[in-house]
Amino acid sequence: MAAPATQQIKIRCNDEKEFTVDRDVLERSVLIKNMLEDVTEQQDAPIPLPNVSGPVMAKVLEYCTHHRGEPLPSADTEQSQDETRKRTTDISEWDQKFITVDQEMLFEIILAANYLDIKSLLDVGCKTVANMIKGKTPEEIRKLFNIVNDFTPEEEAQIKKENEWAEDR
Amino acid sequence: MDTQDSLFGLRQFISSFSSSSPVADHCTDQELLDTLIGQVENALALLKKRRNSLSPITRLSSDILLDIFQYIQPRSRRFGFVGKRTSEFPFAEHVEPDHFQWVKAVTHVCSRWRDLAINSPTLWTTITFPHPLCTSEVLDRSRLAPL
Repeated sequence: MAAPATQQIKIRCNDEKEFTVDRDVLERSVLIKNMLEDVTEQQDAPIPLPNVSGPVMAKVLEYCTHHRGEPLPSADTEQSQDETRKRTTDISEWDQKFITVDQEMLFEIILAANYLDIKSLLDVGCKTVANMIKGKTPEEIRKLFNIVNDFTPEEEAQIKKENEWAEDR
Repeated sequence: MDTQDSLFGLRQFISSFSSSSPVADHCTDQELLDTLIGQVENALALLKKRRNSLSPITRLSSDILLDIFQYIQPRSRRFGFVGKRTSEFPFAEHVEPDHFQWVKAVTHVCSRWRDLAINSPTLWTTITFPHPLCTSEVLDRSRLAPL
């Protein structure tokens, strides 16, 4: 006997790009999951996602497809895991390869994960940025993210004092 | 003063010194010059803030940035006391050389990161004793967050 057909859902991104995706893949996003639960009748119109572009959604869907079937964190486990989660920046091999993208795309993925409420993808993005920062000096970090030292003389004086604390050890 | 005003004021100020007239013709005492230097420095800081706001990482919200900062904190140093183990602080742990690296990474890069980090008490719940002023500063930053 053939397996029951998976429901297909259509989504539309802010650049009009449309995707037709299996429901269980899309339900990795708590935002979309809640939207689908709120709809009682089958809808043919695509779900509009005004904050995500087509190329970014394609990456997000790649992630969701790979992780389909994995348990979603419940509100209870989320809180208890929060502290543990924060302590490690380990990323699985597949996720690491997946998130090896340019900075622009990395930030777009993080923003999309936050908007779509895909906690595990948001974590992967944040850990990746944290790993990029770790072990670098402030000057190296500025160079990495194309930012400049914008401190006022007063802030500079305070920073100088803080550096002395570190050197006094 | 917004960025446009700041830029306009700075242009005017610089052009006033670009002629052959010596600086002394414009300003006669050090106090006045110091005030002008302070104004220029503050205007520059404002322009740099504006420049930073155009960098891609600035698109990340404060909540997301704070999440990233929490990942940067050393794993074993989130709770408890670190610092020199002395008779006064027998419970202190040894401070690793990179212990302050995360502090510098989140507070010494740019003003947005610094403001966010300093105003996030949960980042400052580990007490350090390397310097009395440092301990006091960390306690201030932790506000009412449980240590």
